[in-house]
Amino acid sequence: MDITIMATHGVNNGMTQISKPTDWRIGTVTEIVYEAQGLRSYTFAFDTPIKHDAGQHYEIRLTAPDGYQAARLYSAAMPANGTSNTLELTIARMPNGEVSSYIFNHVKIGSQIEIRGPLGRYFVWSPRQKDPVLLVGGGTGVIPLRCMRLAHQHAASAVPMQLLYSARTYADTAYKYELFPRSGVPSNDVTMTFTEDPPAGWPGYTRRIDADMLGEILTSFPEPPRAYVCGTTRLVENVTQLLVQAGLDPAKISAERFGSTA
Amino acid sequence: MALVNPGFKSPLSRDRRVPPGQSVVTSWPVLTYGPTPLIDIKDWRLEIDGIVKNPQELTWEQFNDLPKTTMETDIHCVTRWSKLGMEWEGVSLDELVRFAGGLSDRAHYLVAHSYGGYTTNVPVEDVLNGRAMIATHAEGKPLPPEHGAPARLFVPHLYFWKSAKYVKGLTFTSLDHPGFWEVNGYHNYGDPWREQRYDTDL
Repeated sequence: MDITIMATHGVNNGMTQISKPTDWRIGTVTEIVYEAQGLRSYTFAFDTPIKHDAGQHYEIRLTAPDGYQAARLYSAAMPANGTSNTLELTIARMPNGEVSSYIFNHVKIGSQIEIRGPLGRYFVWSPRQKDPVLLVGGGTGVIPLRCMRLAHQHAASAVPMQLLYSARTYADTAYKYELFPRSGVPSNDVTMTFTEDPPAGWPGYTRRIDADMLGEILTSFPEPPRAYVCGTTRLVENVTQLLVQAGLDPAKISAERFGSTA
Repeated sequence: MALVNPGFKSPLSRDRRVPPGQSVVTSWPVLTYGPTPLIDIKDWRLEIDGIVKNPQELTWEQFNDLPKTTMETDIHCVTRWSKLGMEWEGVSLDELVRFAGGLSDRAHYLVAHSYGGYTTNVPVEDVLNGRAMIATHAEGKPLPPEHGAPARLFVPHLYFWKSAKYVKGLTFTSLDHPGFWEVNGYHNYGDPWREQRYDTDL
């Protein structure tokens, strides 16, 4: 055993070496959930505990028989506090995406995949934070926000948290079973807007996120919230500027933009 | 040896300009941790301070009076995309250091400061001798706001978070001062060819 690594990173029970976040670990797929068209959640089981803050991400690495490797980043979709060995990642199929296509076409229950993390320590929410929280997500940008919302629920946190989620259609909406616990009616802490094809009889918003929409949600907070914004560059640029104009402190607006990294 | 994933194939051809673990994009993704700061060019300043002989504060006009340089090169983002064969234009760090009267022997690091509060650190030898500039144009056009307008540090041989957007200050120091991402889990140096992505990567 490498003494230097033991000294640097400590030992667990005096026996097992604790792995670093950047060590590759092998996860075995135990569950695959269809979330929406082109969007699936995969649960991976490891032989060591999983622990991260909501909003952190993991890398999946694939290796071909000739040694070629490709890797992609995926946000954790479910909180993990170290009491379980499982990790849930929600994965969107990207056009011509070599990693997501492989996962959608080849990965089954029992498949083994190399994963490392948690990575990134900025776009994170933990129940230790005391500011009210506004989560704004578009499309698959909801994935890390869903993790934050569940972390908030699991911790029974008393800080107000609201989610504003923009999806094209109901069919494209991820996590419907959580966000719409009663068919067609969003949970109290969730505001939906459908930008293309709302469900029949939908009474809510049917447009892109704008200043009025954000203004209405902001009035529900007792004090200005910390904001987490995740989605396409277009959505994030628009929403973050509107939040600054609405008076939020730019230092309390965290953003994650995704473009077309296949 | 890494686990081999059955059925996963390497691409038919791979460009030798692409570092390990990177994929080529034709679009240009945006990564910024917060809102894009909107900067009025009238208020823009570039401060050059720390261990330089004559600290300077340049206006946009003064900055643009300096000789421009271009670099045709590739950029590599730690989030695993690379964009190849871009043309960038700006003022080299050599030129800016010369304008500030040169560096003291004790200047070992550059700390770049940005509007919005972002910082990043780079060893001095990585920004001199034509290796870095303060860029104002990419692909023949002024930088768009989301890519760092009006000017960003450009150090293309390191992962692109080192190329600080919205730059407003260059401080030369004798000691290293890890910046925003460098204290938030990312590597202190960030060489794409050695895959120095995260703080525990070698």
